[in-house]
Amino acid sequence: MNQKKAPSIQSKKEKKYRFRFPFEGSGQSIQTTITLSFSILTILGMLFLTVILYNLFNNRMEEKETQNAEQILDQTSMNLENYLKNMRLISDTMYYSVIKESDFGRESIDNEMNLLYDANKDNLVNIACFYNNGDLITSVPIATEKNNAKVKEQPWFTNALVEMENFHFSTPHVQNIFDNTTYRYYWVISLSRAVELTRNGKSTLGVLLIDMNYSSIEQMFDSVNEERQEGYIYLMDNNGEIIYHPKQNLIYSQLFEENNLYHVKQKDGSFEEVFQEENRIVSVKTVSYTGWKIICITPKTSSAVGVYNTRYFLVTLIAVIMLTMLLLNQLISIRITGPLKKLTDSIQITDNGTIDQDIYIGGGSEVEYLGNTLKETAHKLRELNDSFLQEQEEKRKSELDALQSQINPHFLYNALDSIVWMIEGEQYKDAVFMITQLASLFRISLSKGKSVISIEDELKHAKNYMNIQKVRYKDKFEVFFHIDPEILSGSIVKLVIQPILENAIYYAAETMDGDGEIHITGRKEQDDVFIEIKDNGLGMPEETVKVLLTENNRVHKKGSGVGLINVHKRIQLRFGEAYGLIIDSIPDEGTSVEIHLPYVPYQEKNSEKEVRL
Amino acid sequence: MSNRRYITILFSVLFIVLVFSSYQMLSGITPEEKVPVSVIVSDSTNDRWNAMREGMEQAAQNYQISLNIISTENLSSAKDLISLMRREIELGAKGIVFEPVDDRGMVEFIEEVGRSVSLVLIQSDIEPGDVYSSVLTDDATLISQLTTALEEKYGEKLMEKKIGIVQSVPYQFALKQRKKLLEDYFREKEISLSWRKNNIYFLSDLVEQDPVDIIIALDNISTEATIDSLLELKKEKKTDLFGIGYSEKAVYYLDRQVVDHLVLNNDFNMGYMSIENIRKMIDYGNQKTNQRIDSYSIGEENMYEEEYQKILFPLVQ
Repeated sequence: MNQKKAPSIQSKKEKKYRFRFPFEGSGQSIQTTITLSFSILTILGMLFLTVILYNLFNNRMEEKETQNAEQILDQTSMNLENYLKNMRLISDTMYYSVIKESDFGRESIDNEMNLLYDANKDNLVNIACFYNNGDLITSVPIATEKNNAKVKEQPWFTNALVEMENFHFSTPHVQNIFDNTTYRYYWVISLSRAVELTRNGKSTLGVLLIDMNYSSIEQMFDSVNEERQEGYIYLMDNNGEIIYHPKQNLIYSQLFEENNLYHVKQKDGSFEEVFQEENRIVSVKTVSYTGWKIICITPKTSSAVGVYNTRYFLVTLIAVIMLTMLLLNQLISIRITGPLKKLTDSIQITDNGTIDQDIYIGGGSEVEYLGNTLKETAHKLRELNDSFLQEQEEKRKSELDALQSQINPHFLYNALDSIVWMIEGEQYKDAVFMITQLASLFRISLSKGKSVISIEDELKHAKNYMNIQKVRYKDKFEVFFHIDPEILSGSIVKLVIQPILENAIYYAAETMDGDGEIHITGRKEQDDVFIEIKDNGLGMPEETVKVLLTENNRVHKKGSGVGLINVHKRIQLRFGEAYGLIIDSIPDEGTSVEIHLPYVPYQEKNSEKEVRL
Repeated sequence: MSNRRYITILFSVLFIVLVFSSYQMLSGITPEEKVPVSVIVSDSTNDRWNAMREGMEQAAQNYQISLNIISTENLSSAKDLISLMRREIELGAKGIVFEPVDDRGMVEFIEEVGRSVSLVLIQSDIEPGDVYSSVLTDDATLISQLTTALEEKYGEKLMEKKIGIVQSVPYQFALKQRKKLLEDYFREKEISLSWRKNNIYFLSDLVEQDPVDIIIALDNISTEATIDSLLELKKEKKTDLFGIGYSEKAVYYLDRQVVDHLVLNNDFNMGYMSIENIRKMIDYGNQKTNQRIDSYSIGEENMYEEEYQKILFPLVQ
């Protein structure tokens, strides 16, 4: 025998630490295992890649947003500083060029103040000058103050006189000291400073007030906010009081909250915060001189619209790649497992009994080797199987032959003894009849060595036998045949009726002393044939009937020596366990032995091997 | 499970993910459409609605609403109001913010229309319903603040004062409620009122013929009418005016001490909240809320305080 070596043989150690695919050994096909394992690996890999890419992109976008916010802050801060510088310049001009040059006891500064106001009226609401006791010296464009104006209580006034060397910027407020005859009111940011005045040659203190139009600052910030799709900027003073906020009215109405008191403590730069369950990037920029802070808020959720779209773009891209990978996986797995599947299918066919089918040989070297090995193994198995079957058949045949051979010597002895007796009694005719019957009986017994014959021949054999026995027993019994002609063409194991008749003669005819009757009835029921041999002899008790067909409790017999058990066994060996003898007996009434056979039409070719169910 | 089944499931899942992400990607590019909402209030061009209008515009901007404030004059009957509302619904309004009038058929109409169009009632004190939201003026608080101001100014001498009450129209829910609450208060204090006037016609004649120490105006129109009458009769120093309402004129004369005390609702909040509510109703259907807005009592002495100047002089944004 040729010993082929497998292309790769794994050692025990290798097996112990071998990588196992997720679905290996769970009853899945190799194709499923390969497809799913690689699909899962692909999905995990792509997900990992997606997360990395998304984070990189997100971080990049956040950095860009932060840079953008800081640029906006720088620009806005510069614009605001210029604006405030311009206001301080107006104040300086008013102070150093007008107030310091004038004696308020002798002259008016209205013209100069008007000129300065007209030149900057887009940004200004009022310019006014007060004595330190709160009395108004002059103001433009409204020249009078209200009766109940409490100038000395105004924060801008008191602050100016407390810190005289500084400019003071107020928070936004409604200017309420001038006597405006219209219903209009103005939100202003007051720029105030202490000034030295000359009145009738005497120096005194006063306060110069420049009311900046709040709407100028508002417009400056509004224009920035309008350009921003997401997020906003706002302005607060160094105490955290909001000067400008795009949702200022909502904040005043407590419909919106801002984290200004926290922001005011932060240094210039950017940081992240969570405020009211919203992640956002906060950028801070301090405005020089005033200490005001401009804050830029960028919600991280939108960091921003670009990220949102990119997120779904990435998901779409990954889904497309995964679909493609899945298709490729499927193709590869089919390519790998195709030969194995063909091999499996061919093995299945072999198992089903089509012995001559070829086992598939092909595919990769491993599969080809496997196919060859299996083919060889299958061939050997088939040979073994055939050999086994042949042995079994031979064994059965020899057993049958042995059983049949048990009949012949005993019967022959009795028959010949009867013939001898007839010749001695010069009953030559009877002797001739006996010999003729015997010859016919043996002819059928031989049946060219067949073990299965037609029921017709078996009945003829039975009649021959009974004719011989009737001579021998000197007509002590009567034999009646009631045979349905339909069964005559059926098949039967040779010489099964004769032993039963022999028993019937022994138990019925011998004991009845001339009144014995033996009825042989043959009938067909559906696909079965029943041949009953019934006598009116001594009968048997039920317990005897029960053990008749049990091999271990074989009843001692007389006559031919062939027991019912042998007949029963022969029928079952040939036709199967469902068939055989059915015995029914009542003591003192008689015994019925029924042969149960399948109806199998007799043909020459059925006579030996094929009549087997 | 067979290989074919696994593959089918994986393909299906990936295909669904692909369709979903593509849809999300495309919908992210498409700008959200604004929802048309109409606002119907009586005399809508009057200054007294300025703060409310600003609140509404701010909310409209935040909540993607296309706001249409209908120009109206005095809407004195339910018939006129219903006719306007029907027209707006036909023109495609998804929601209506309106000021109801106390007239036959109003409640039935609200119940009928409220099932198909989102409704928010403002400036009213009617019972909350299950088919609409409302942003209610808290009339009990308004009257309480007004009577507190009276007591703080006059103390026990309030009993000796001659008092008249005026309102602009007789049919508004809010005005009827305010009048009832005020009359209950004076009845409890055993103060008899010199007169009650349900409209502003010939108010000057009444003030001249039956002068009183205190006039209480129950709404902005009657407050402004009383200011005009007092200035016309030069009685601004002799008669104290306690008004409910808000307008630039009323605030101006509060500053000029013609109006002694002004009690007002936070109309900005009312406007904002009404639009906020209607957006929620349009989006989620069953989110019906009934909210009350704050009110303030402001005199000449505190009108420029930081808290109150933000209410009286709203920043126009």
